[in-house]
Amino acid sequence: MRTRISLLLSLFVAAPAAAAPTVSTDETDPARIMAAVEARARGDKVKGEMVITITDRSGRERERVVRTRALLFDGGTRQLMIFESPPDVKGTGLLSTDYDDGAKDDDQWLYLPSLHKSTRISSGDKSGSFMGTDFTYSDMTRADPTHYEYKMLKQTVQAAGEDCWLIESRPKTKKVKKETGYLKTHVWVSKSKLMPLQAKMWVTAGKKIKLVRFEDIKDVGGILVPHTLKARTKRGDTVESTTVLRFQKLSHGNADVAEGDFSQRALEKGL
Amino acid sequence: MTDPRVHPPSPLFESLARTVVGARWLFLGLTLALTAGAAHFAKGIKSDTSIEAFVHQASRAQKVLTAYRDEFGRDDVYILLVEGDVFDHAYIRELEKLHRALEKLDVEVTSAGHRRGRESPTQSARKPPPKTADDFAFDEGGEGGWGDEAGGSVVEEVTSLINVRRTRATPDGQGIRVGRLMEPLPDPAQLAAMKAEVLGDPFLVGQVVGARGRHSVLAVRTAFLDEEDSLTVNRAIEEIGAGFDGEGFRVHSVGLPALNSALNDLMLGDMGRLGLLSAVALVLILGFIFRHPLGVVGPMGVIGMAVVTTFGAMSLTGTTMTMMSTILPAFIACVGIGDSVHLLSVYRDYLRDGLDRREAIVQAVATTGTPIFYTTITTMVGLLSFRFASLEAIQDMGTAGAFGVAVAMVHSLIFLPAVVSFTETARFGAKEKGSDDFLDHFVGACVGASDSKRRRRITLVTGAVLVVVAAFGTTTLRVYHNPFAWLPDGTPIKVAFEMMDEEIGGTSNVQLLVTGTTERGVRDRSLLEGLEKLRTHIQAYEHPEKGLLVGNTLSLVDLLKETNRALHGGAQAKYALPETQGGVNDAMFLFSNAGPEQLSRFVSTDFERGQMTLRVKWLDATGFEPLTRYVEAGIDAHIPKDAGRVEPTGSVYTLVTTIRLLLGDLMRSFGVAFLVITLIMVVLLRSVKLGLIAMVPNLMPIAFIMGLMGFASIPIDMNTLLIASIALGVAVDDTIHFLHHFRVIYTHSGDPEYAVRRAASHSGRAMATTTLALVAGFFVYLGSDMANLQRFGLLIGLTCAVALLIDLIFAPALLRTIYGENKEKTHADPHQPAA
Repeated sequence: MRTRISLLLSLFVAAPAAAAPTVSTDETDPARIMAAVEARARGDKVKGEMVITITDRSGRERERVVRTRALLFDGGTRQLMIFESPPDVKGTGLLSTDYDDGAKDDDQWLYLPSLHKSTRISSGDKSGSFMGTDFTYSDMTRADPTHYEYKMLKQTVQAAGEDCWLIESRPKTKKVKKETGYLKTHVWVSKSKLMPLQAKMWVTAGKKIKLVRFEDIKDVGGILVPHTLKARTKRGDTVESTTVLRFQKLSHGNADVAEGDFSQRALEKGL
Repeated sequence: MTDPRVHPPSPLFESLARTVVGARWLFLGLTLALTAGAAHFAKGIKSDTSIEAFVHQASRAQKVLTAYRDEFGRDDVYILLVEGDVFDHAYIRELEKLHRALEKLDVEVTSAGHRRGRESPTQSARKPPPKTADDFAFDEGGEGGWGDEAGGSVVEEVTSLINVRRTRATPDGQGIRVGRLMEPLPDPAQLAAMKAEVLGDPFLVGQVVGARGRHSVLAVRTAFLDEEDSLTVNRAIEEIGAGFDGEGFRVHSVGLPALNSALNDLMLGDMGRLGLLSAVALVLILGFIFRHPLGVVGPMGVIGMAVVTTFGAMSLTGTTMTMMSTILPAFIACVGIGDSVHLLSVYRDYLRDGLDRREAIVQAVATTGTPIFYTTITTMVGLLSFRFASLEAIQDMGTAGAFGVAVAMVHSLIFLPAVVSFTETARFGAKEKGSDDFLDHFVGACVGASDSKRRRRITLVTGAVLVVVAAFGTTTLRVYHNPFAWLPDGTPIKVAFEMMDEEIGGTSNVQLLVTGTTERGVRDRSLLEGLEKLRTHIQAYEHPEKGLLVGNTLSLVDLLKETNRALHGGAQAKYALPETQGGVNDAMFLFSNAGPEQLSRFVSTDFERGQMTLRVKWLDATGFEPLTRYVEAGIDAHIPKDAGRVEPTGSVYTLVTTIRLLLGDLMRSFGVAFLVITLIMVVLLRSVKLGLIAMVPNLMPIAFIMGLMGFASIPIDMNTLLIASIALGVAVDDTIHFLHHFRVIYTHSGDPEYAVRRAASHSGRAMATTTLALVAGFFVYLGSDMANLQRFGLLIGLTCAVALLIDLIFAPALLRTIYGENKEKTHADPHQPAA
């Protein structure tokens, strides 16, 4: 079930793949634009380090540093995350396999140092928060454009100093609405990069607003990659929480990222 | 002619009255315009009848509660209790539908996220805003926030048997399954198999299901809402529940917001209905006494305008209307009626004596202005003494009351003379000289109760004995605040609360705020172990009447125990804290990954803070006190000081600590009021002796009413606390009017007997009229369904009556006794007016 596609893989954005529709900066059809965004090429055999900083409503922070690698395989994606800090989680590992086949349950294995063994975790809950951040697992899933209705709100609008389309998307079905937890989303898509620069989500439960920014976009081996993701959840003027994900040492096409890295043994051994 | 020695005119008030009557249209217009302006602002007054409104922002209890809410949000939830065979498939299907309907609840609220009353988050004070906050510039493209978008729900989370999170070992014991208890919905066979597991799980029983499997609970969590929005949400939840209510699936609304809502509805309904009846009673009495529409319109106008102006001023100054301030109209009515009746009584005496209308009203203001001024000042002092109370709601009530009393005085001296000056012929029920009515007979009989040495002695001894008896009664006074007991038996919310206590194990929540002081914060195993011991300690508490008082407890410890069991193949023996710190870290990591939303209900992001929620049976506020002491002893005994600290908190706990302060507040405020009023009495009566004597009839009604409360087992609570202040206000007013006239006549005549009789005949009649009107007005409240309103009406009515009797019976006896000895020292002929 493609619900936990690798965060790492989802970062990588390149020129649209051959099969994807090409769009010009004058494009007025929001569905074509979003199809082109979603159909972008993905990096593979990715390595990197991620610093997760979560700040709650009373200003308390939690920071975690994770080494991670990801791999596309025929039928899905695999990702391995090993926690480096803080000390209480050092050595903890998480291995996940996400299948493209919606009928197949995802695999998730957790290595807990105190038990000296890995444990399989299965979860029926797919719409929750990703490790306590402001991102949900659904945020990391490539949206299927056919599941949404799109509306062009503004043909040209500025965001982060760039010309963007401002597009509204609404889930077509209750099922998708429930899975994402969003009533609708506004997304600012860079015309030059064909990637989102910021998004605003209307969170159904509690009528909250989630704001997401993709920043610090750098070229990594020919693929544009945002190195900082920020998300903030608000209710009215009150900030509920903020998450910043910072990526370091990102690379793709690494020959040493191989199928063998994504085993229980590798999980227990660490990267 | 009206004796100028009884009513010495004040040049100041005479000048005021001439100005007012000379430009009566202007002054009428001004007072009405000011009132209309105040009415405009009064519409915007903020109302908060919640417990939070009573608590002082700077108090320790409030600080802990604010800190708790900063971390964990609201400590109260909306609860529906559903009665039926929980493990019947039809029940569960209905429960799921109800659960989903509640998740979609959407009503218009404007206050989401805003704290009630005066509470504000402490985040900015405690830590600077996170660095990321400054970086987060976001242009929302012209549509800020939620905008006009329809859809979404005010509900953040509904927790029930359907979705309660479970971390279990997989059947093969090799893995862990994290999920929701009944998602997807079990089939009948699965449900039957689930019954034993669910009812055997201490985590679930008392949280979402009753021990007998006959009741389940849906807890609905929203953002912070103001009182009005909270009531709206509660009503919407109750409507949804009512839509599902049926045979085998009985839905009851329960929980603190539901109780607040029920109290609010009943109180407002009763106060509206009875307030109207009370006004009708006042109108009838005033009509009967003054026999003219303006004799009714004047005093009622004074009261109405003073009340409206007070609420307008409260709105303008951002003062919130609390349950305390609902007493203000009654208070202002007492004072406003007193001022008006005294002025009108003197006015009609002058009319009877042949003065023309204009001169009569000028002289009435000139001669009653001083005592009205002094009664106002003393009443204001009584009310302002509440500034020394520790509860902010009482402080505000005191300030607003003092303002209202001052406004009532201004309207009595400006609006009332302007209004009554419009009649050319009315004599306001004045009798011909010598033709006494029942009020005169009554006053005469009271004053006559001490007109011989023997009678005087009997009166004084009786008074002293009654004071001693009353003083004994006050020793049995108890503080007991239980809004629940105000409700009539059989009220749906009362039935539901009792059922919830019985079946689920509690309707109230007490929270423990845990702060880890080591680097590991609340993950420190020794701290967690201490918390587990504390939980066991608290759950063992037995109430003398209700038995075990604390039901289900929920904390990080429970999550870790459940996770540890799952990590060890589901072995029940492992339903315990992990044995090592590493094990705790791992279980915490697992849970923070699998259930971060739930974890955030129990532990702060940085793990410094955590909380434990105890479900407790409903008790009156003072009944909680032994439990809170027991909890505090448990904290001392079990929480390692070097690992952290634990502080009890939550709405209920805060209320308890608030109630503890009530008696102290009462004593402190009274002490201040007593001293200042004594000084004012000395100044007004220009005699230390008379000033001190005046305090006797001032204090006696308070002693009697408090003694009566003690004997009748009427407790001191948020409502009855203020009866004493009203008693002081009413008693002082009567005493001032009586003694002021006594002093003036006695100074001229030197004859205490003559002075007592003349003072009684002039001010006694007005005092009796005022009392009659107020007693009728307040006894109407005895018809309320709510016990607190019944007591309120009874006690204020009795206070007015007792204050009158003391001033007319006991005060003359006292004056005759003390001043009788000086009679021979005077030389003037007491029975002839001075030249």
